[in-house]
Amino acid sequence: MNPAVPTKKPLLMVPAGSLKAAQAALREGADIFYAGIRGWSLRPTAFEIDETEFLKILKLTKFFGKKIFLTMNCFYRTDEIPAALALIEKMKNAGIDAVIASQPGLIREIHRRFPDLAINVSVQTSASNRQELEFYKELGASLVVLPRNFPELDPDHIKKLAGTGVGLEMFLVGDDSLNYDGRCYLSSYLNQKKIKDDTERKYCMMGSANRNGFCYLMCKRECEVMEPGGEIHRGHILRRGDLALFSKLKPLSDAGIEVVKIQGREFPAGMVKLIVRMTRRLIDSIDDDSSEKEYVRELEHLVRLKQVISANHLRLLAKSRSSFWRNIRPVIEKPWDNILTALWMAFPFYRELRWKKYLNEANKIDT
Amino acid sequence: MILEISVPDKKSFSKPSLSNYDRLVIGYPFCPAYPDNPSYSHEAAAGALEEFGNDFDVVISLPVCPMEEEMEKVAAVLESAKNSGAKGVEVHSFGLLMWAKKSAPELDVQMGEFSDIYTAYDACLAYDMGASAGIPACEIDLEERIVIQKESPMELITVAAGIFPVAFSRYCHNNPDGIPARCTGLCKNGRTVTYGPDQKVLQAGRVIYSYRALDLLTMLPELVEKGFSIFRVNGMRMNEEQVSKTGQILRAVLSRHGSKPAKEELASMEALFPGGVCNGFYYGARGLDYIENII
Repeated sequence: MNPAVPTKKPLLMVPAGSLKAAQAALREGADIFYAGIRGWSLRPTAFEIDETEFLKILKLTKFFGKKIFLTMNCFYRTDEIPAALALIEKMKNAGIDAVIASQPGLIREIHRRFPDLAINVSVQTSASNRQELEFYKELGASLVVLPRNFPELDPDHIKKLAGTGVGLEMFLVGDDSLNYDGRCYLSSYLNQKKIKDDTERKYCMMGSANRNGFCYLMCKRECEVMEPGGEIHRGHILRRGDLALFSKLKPLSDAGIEVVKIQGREFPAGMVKLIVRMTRRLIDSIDDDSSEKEYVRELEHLVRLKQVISANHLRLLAKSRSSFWRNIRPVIEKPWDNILTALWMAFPFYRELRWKKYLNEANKIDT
Repeated sequence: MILEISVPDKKSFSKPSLSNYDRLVIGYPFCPAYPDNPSYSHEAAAGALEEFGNDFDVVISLPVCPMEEEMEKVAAVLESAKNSGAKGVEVHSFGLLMWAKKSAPELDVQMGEFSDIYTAYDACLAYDMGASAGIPACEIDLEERIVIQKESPMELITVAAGIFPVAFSRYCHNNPDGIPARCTGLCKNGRTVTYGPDQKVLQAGRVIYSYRALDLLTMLPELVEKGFSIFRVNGMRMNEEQVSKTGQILRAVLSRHGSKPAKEELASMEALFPGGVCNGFYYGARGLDYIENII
């Protein structure tokens, strides 16, 4: 470490899945908040907030001098674009700092109509090379999220992407997506259904990860595999771990990452609060190797909790075929998550127990 | 009416089996480890053009989501396409479209199946940037396709037959740690992955393919009537016989200008694909019309 050249600290972008989560994250030192309005972002509607709650979060963040980005990163239909632009205009007038979008056609329209509104290009675009970054810069974007794949998040790779004129952003915590974001139709191939829900959008494309975020997460499911030789086994063969790149924060920042993002609008406020607290400390002590290790350990425990909660969500999601379960999900899911978080934090033996149970379920492959 | 086929390399199919096609889109854009791959190797691209360039319009398919480290190779392929008489190149993103049009303005550029064209706004942007044609995202339905075709000047390419990719990964599924230093070639056969009682996909290297093949034969007259004029056969995992007969049947139906396919033609097409056929999950109102047992 060279103390004469301190690492430039990246900004911390956090999910505002609810007013409560935003308040907690604000207290813990988040710099930027992102949130989507019901029906318009890549989250099942159960985890999205309505316009009123969004405006409350916006007011709160503005009062404390923080930034808020509006998430509009679905792949909309042609006939939905005018309504999407109207919503962006309304929220721009209310004071959002940027819009997160993924459709090149929509990004061009946003820049044409609101040239002073910053555009953050979503992870959905899977921008892996300088040509993509230069294109989005020309389209009017100021910040691009890099794909959630380990090869793309290698500091040596990121160094090659720096200097195109757009800022680089990445997920520090999140799912390590097996397939490229925005280029996976696996869930919709097996399950897509066009339904009308209670949002303003024309249809909810249930089953599509790209169009409504209502992904059935086939990559995390157990399946039966027949190898080319005829051998059959069962397992979670497409499952991968989670991104938890805390120990790489310094080299990533040195390579040119300007914003680090935490995934999890669907997670309980208590958990978001703890992740934000630890990540804030980690960023603030980026040049201090000794304290970093302590925070990394804490954060790794939280990522395990995130995995256990995700597995619970998946179990409920599996029942979402029926409208009864779809409607009841938000009612039982949040209290369940909160209880689990409280137990996890309070009792280390419970933590170990749940983690072992999770590993047993996740890794079983009967050959 | 143009009938094109995607072909992984110059060795997979002979010229007679391709005789019903007007255009060949050559290259395996998903994997740098695929041997003699025109998408990643300029020698292979030049070789493919030498083999087929005199008899067909040849389009070289550039990689999907190439990493920065791979761009040098991709630039060499573009250069080779330009110098060896390719009609054009296929790209899978807007960044590569912009770059290809700047580097080789004389080449035609078409947008591939992973270009994320979901709306007429995307198609208009691609057209303004110089793309002549493109394949819309496979999960959009016929109604949306008609809107895009109507509202944008870019020609839409309709994939009419063959299994199609439903996901693409940086990781090789045959080697969970990533791309193997030495390719084992297991992807050539592929694993069959089944979710629940009847939901199958084919996992092959870095790509997951639909198990059932697309067969839009019954819809061709309607598509032609709606103004679609470029049709593609996805030849990626087909054999010589499948390629030849598919081309023969599609050519015969297209040449009859909108009249319905005969029963024998429908039956022969269906018989070509042992995994079964479907009309594409994006043409129905409720997903795969043959799958009831979802989740």
